[in-house]
Amino acid sequence: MQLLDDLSGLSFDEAQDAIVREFESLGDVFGQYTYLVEISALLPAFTDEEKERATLVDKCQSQVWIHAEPLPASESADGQPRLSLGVESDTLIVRGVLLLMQALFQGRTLQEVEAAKVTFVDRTDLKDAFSDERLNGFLAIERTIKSLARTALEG
Amino acid sequence: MRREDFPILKEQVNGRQLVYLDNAATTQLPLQVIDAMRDHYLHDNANVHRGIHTLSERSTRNFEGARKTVQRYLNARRPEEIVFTSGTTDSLNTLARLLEPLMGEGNVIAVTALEHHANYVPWQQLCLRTGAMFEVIDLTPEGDVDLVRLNSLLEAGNVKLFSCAHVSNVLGTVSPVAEMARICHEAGALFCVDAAQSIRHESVDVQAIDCDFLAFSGHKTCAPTGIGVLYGRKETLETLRPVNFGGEMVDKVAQEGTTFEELPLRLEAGTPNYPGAIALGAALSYLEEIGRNDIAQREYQLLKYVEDGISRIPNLHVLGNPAKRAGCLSFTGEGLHPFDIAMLMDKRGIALRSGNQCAQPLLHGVYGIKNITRISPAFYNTEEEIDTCLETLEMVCALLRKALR
Repeated sequence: MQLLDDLSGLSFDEAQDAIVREFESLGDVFGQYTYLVEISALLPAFTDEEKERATLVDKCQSQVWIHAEPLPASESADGQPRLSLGVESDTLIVRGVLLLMQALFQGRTLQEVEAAKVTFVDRTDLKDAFSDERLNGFLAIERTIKSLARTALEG
Repeated sequence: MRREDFPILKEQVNGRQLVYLDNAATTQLPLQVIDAMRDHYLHDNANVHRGIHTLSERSTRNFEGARKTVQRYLNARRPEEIVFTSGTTDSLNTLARLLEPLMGEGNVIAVTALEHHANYVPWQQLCLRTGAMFEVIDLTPEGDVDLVRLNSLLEAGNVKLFSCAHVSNVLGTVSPVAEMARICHEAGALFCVDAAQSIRHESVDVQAIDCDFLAFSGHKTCAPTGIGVLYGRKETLETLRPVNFGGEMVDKVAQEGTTFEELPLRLEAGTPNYPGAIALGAALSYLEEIGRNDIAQREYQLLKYVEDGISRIPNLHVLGNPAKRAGCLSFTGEGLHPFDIAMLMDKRGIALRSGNQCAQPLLHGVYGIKNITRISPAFYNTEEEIDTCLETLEMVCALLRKALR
């Protein structure tokens, strides 16, 4: 999808702005959620083994698995440890949101990860996908990404 | 039927006309009930029972009038058999604590695999506390309570209580509660009916059923949340020692001891939700005025319309095929997550419920699934709304299927 290609090379906040603009251009909220469902197909499925290795963020109806490890050194142009993020969900809408989060965090340094604040959910109609209870689940996803990134990139 | 009484049905959701099909979770309030609540707060509101002044007397009269309305609605013999609670869950938890002194090792408390957590967990926890055995009656493959298994358990002779949902909040199974009462009493067991899902559209006549206890919630009868009823046969309720103490339920209090009020006040400690009870009375009167049989017939018609329509959507599977279904049906779609279905439907203004419906033993234990999507029409829904729901559902399922990996 063009959006995901456009995000590479942007700073975290620039990339988020691009996501928000894309959603605003999609028109009605059903169109936005359809988009999430469509892009969810781009996320490679976790194997059972990968689910075992990943951290499960289990909130109510939707399960989320997150795995973080450093990118191979050869893929870091400046030699800094950079994040490789694997994400998975059993629901397509959350999978779509996770794909966007993966695109935001993938390849970032630990400093960039820790400074990042995920705001695109609040700034779009996507916040309606997450009730107050699920928004807490969403914040748990962000916290888990940062915590796993710290472990992966500090070592 | 009577849509004009329900202003919320005109609400716009996500730019679309609301199609509210989540009535098994809660029903909407008609203007008649909203006006009754408004009138109460505008003209009558004061704490009940102990006041001498005019507003207190008006509130008390209306509160006790509501109790008599509930008595009439359930065909209970006496108003003192009607105890106001905060809902079905509160009723069943209170009942479990009331019955605790009667339970111990060697006793059995039985429920069915159909039960909502409110009619499962209190009994399970009571057994853990007292050493009684907790038994769960299986279902038939169609989703009815296995009466052969129930009979066999009752014949063993040590069942003290059997509690069963009159109508399942997942499968819509209607259980033969009068027959269940009969076989329970033959075996010397008490029988409790969870009428949360049946109260609006089944015949809920406590004398005809001959149950010992019955519980329901106001918010499934077009009344507000926070009010419900525990019915108990007077001869049985009188033998049970109160479990909540405080104001309203006492007669004389001194350091040496306390005496308690007569039924039902003895079981209603603290300031009751009298505005809620008054609203409940107005709601039940409203349903009676429309005609309970008319409501029941209409709701059956609508549910049948849903069932026929959903059978034409490919790859959707309706749970259960009970002998009689009322109120709701639940379905799965192969590879589709109910969260995705319900979320996309909501973006088209259609309110369905997805999740485990507070029935994990049924979904996980019997059907081996985590979540389902549920459709539950009420008498104020229309065939056109159901058409909109089913057309959108078919489109949504096709869209989701295309994205499966």
